[in-house]
Amino acid sequence: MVKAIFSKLGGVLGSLWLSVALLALLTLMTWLGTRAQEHMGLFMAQKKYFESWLYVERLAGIVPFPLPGGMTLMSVLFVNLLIGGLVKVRWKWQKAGILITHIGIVLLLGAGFVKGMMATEGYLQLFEGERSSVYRSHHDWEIVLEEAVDDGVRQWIVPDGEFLDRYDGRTARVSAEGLPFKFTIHDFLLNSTPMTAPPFAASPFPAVDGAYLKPLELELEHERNVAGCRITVDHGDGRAPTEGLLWGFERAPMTVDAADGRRFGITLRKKELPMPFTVKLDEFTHEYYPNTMIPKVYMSDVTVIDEDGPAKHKIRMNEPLRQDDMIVFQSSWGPTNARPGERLYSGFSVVENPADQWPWYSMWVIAAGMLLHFGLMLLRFIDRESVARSRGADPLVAAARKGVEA
Amino acid sequence: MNAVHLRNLSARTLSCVIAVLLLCMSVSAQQGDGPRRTRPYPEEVVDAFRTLPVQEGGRIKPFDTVARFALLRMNEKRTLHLPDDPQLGELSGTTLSATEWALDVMLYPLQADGYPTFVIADRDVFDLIGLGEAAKRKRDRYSFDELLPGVQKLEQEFERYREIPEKERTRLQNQLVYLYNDLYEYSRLRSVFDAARIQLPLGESQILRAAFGETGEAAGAERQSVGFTEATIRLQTLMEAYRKLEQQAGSGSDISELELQRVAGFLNNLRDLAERSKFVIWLPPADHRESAWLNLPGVFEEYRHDGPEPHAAQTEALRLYEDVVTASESGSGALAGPGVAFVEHVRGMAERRGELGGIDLEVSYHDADWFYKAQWFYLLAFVLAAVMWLVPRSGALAWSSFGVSSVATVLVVIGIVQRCILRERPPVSTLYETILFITGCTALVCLIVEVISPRRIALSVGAALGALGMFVAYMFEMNDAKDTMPQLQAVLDTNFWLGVHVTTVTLGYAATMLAGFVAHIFVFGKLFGIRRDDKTFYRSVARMTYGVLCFATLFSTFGTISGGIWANDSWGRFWGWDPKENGALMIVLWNLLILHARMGGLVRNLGISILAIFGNSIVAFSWWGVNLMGVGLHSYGFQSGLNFWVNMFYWIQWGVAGLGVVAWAMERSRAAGGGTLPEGASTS
Repeated sequence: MVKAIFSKLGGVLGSLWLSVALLALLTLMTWLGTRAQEHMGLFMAQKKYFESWLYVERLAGIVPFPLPGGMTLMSVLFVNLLIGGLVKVRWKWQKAGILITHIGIVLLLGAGFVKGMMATEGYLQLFEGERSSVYRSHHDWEIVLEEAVDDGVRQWIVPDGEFLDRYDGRTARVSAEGLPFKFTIHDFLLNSTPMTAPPFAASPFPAVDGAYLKPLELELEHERNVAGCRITVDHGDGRAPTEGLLWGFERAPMTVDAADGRRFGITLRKKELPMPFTVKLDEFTHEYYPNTMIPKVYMSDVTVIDEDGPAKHKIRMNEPLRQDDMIVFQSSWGPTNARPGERLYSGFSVVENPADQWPWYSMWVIAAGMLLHFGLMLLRFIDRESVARSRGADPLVAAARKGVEA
Repeated sequence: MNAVHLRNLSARTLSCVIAVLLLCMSVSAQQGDGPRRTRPYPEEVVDAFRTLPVQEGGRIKPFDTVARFALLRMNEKRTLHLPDDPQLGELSGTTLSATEWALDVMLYPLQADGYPTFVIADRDVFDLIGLGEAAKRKRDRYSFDELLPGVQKLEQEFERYREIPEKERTRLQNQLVYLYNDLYEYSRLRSVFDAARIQLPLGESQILRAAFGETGEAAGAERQSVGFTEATIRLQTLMEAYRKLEQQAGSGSDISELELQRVAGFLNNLRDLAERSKFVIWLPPADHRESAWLNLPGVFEEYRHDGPEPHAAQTEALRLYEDVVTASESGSGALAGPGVAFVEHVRGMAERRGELGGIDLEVSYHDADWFYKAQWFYLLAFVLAAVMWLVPRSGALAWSSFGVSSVATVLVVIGIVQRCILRERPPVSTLYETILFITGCTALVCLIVEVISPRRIALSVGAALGALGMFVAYMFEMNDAKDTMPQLQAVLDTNFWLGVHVTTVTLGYAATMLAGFVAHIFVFGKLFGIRRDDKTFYRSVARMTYGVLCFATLFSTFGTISGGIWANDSWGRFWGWDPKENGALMIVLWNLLILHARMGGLVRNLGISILAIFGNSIVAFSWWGVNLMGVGLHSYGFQSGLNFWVNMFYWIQWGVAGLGVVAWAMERSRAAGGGTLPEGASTS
C-alpha cells in the first residue's frame, strides 16, 4: 500500500506534465516579477515573487489569485528533475545527452541553493592607503555599543533580528552581560530621515532634544534605505532614562554615561561581516573615454594580507579577486564630484559564496549534454534527408515536384 | 520629428543656447552678406573632409560619420535636397551629401541657414513657439532662418519640459525638446570655424599693439585686429604682460589699470572665441601619452602653459584651419588646395599617433551601406520565392531565390565583419548590432536548413525575415540617429564575455524567433486549408520548427547561464532577477516547456507551432520590452519610444497564436467527423 502510494507520488512528481506546468508557472512568475519591478523596485519584487513560497496576484487589479512563488516552484522543479530526469529516465546511451544536461541543471540549482543558504553579500569602501578586514551588509543593520578599554574597544552587537520587526509601535528591550544598563528600542524605521521638531507645536513623532525621525517610503533600491530608531537607556540607578535617536548615517555615536562611571557609544550601522584576510587599497585608477563622461576603466591595486603574508592584486571590472571562498569585485568609486587630485575611495562588492564556481562548471556540463543530444538528433535528421534527396535529381525541386505529383 | 532617442542636452549647456543662437546672429551681422557658394565643392575637398579624423564620443572617427548622424538627427535623412532657387546657382535643386551640408554650415553659414534642414512632424509645434503663421504642411522641413524668430519661446517651452522623463512627455513636448536640441547642435556646428573667421580687435592697448604690430603681413602698418592662431601663439607672452600689469595696477597707476582691462578683455575674447568653436574636436595633442584630442579651449590652455614651442604641428594645423576659411571666402573652388592641405596635415598628425587606422574603412563602410542593399536583395529573394510557390515546377526560380538570398546574407556578413574590425569587438555589443546579427544568423540558418532539407520553406522564411530584419535595422538607425559604434562602458569592456555570452544569447533569440516564424506557415496553412492533404509538407514545417527550437534551446540556455557567470564576475552575483536576465530566462523556460510538452505527448505539431508563435512575444519582451521599462542594471540597453511597435508585435503574435487555436478547433471538428485526430491534439 505504502509502496503503491510512493510509486504513484513518484509518478506524479517525476511526470512531464508536472515539468511543463512548472515551466509555465515559472515563466509566468518571471514575467510578473519583471513587470512589477517598474513600480516596486527590484528588492521588493524579488521578495514578493522570486523568494516567496506563495504570492497573490490580483486579476484585473481586483480579484486576488494565489500562485506558487519562486521558492515553491524551484523546490518542486528540483524534485521533478531528480525523479523524472535522473531516476525514472532510462539510462541508455541514446539518452546520455539528456542525462548529462539534467545533471548540469541539478548542479546549477544546487549552486543557487548553497548560495541562498550560505552566502553573504556586502560592500567595502576604502580610500587609498586604507585597509580593512571587514565588510558591511547591503541590507542588514545592527546596533553596536562600544566602550573604550585599556587594550582597545569592547563591543556589544545587537543584530537586526532583535529589533527589525519593532517598527509598528512595539518595543524591544535589550540587555547583555557586562552592560551596566538595559535599553529599549522604539519605533524602528527601515527608511527615515532626521527632522527638527517644531518649537511651538507638537512633534508628529516622538522627539528627542528637538529632533525626530521621519518615516520615509521604502526606496526601490533597498540598499538606499537609511534605518533609524529611538532608544531609551534605563540606568537602573534611579536616574531618569536617557533618550536618544539612532540613525544609519549619523557620524558620531550617541554617548551614554553609565551609573558606574563608564562611558559607552551607541551606533546604528550596516551589519559588519568579517573577511579571512585584510585588504589594503594601494592605488585606485579610474579613466573616462577621452572628452566624454563614459567610464572606461575602474581599477584598484590592492594588497591582500593573510597568514601567508602580503600579496599584490589588481581588481577591476570583470576581474574580481577570488580567495578563500571570498570574492571582491570592483563596483564603484567616489566621491563622484571629486576634483582632480582629491583623494578617492574605491567601492567593492564582497561576496562569500562556497558555490561561486559551480555555475561555470554546470554551464559546460549542460552545453555538453545538449550538444550531444541535439547533435545526435541532427545527424539522424540529415541522414533521413540525404536518403530522401537521393531519390530526386534536383534537391531544390524534388520535394516540390513530389508535392505536385501527390 | 520621429527621432526618438536620447537627445537631451547636459544641464550645463542648456542655459546658453539662446546666447549661442544670438551669437550666431551677431556673427551674421558682422559678416554682412557673408560668403556664399553657387558651385559644387571640388571633389577632392569633399573626399578629404569626409576622412578628416575627429574625436567624438570617446573615439576617433571620420568627420563623415559626425556629419551623417548630425544631418540624420535634424533632417531624418543622410542627404539634403536643396530647393530650386536661382540664388543657389548650380546648386539649385541638387542633393548635398552630409559632409557637403556640414561644410556649408561651417564655412557658408548664412547660406546654410536657408536650407530646409529641420524636420518638424507636427505643425502644432509652430503654434507653441509662436510661429503659427509660418507653418507649412503638417510635416515639413524648415530652415534655421525660419525657426530663429521662435527660439526664445522655444527655450521657455523647453525649460518646462526638460525635467520630465522622455517617456512621460507627450508627443508634442518631445518634439519641442528634440527641436531645441537640434537647433542647439546646429548652432554649435555653425560655429566650428568662428575662431578662424572672427578677428579680435586690438583696441587702444599699447601692449597688444606692441605684441602684434610688427609681425606677419601687417609689419610696418598699424594693425587693428588679430586672428585666433596668432593671438594664441603669443598667449604666454600676453599672460606675462598681464601679470606685470596686475602688479603695476596694484601700485595705483591709472594707466596700468586701464591697460590691464584692455588686455584682460582681449584674453577673455580669445577664450570665448575658443569656447564657441569647440564643437568638432579635430586637433591631436602633442603629447603622445595623452588620449584626449584638443578642442580650441584646450589649445588655449596648452599654449597658455607651455607656449608655442612644443606645439609646432598644432600651430601649423591652426594656421591651415584659418587658411580654409580665407579660401572659402573666394568661393568653393578655392578650397581645393587649403582644404586638402588642412585635412592631410591633421591626418598626418593622427597617423603619427597611430590613430588613423579605421578612418578610411569607416568611410567606405558607410558608403557601402551593406545592410540597406541587403534589404533589397532579401526583398527580391522573397519575391522570387513567392513566385516560386506559384510555379512549383520551376527549379530556376528556386535557385534564383537561393542565390539572391545568399548574396544578401554575404552582404550582411561583410557589414558585420567590417564593424568587428572597426570596433575591435565581437559582432554584438549594442542593441543595433543584435538586429544585424540576429537577421544575419537567421538568414544563414535558413540557407543551411534549405541545403539540408530542400523543401523551399526555409528559403522563403529566410528571405522574408532577412528583409524584415534589415528594415528594422534601418528604422532603428533612422530613429536613434546616433553613431552606431559607441564606446562601451567599463562593465562591457571584455571581448571574452561579449563573444561568449552576448553572441550565444543573441543566437538563442534568433533561433527562437525563427522557429516562431516558421510556425506561422503551419498555422496559416492549416487555417486556410493550404495543401490540406499534403502531410509531407506539414511534417517538414513541424520538423523544421522543432529542429530550430532545439538549436534555440542550446544557445539560449548556454547564453543565459554564461550571462550569469559574467554578472558574477562583474557585479558579484550570478543571478539578480534583473529584467534583462529575466527576459533571457523566460526564453529558456519557454523553449524547455515546448520540448518537454512534445516529449510528453502533450502537444503535437500544431500545438508546438502555437507555442512557438507565443514564444515570439517572449523574445520580443526580452529583446525590446525590458529595455522600455527603464529599470535594472543593463542600463546600456535602454531604449525608449518604441512602445507602440513592440506592443503591436505582441498583439500580432498573440493573435496568430489565437488563430492557431482556431485552426486546432477546426481540425478537431473535422477529425470528429472524419475519425482522425487533429494535429495539435494530445495523444494522452
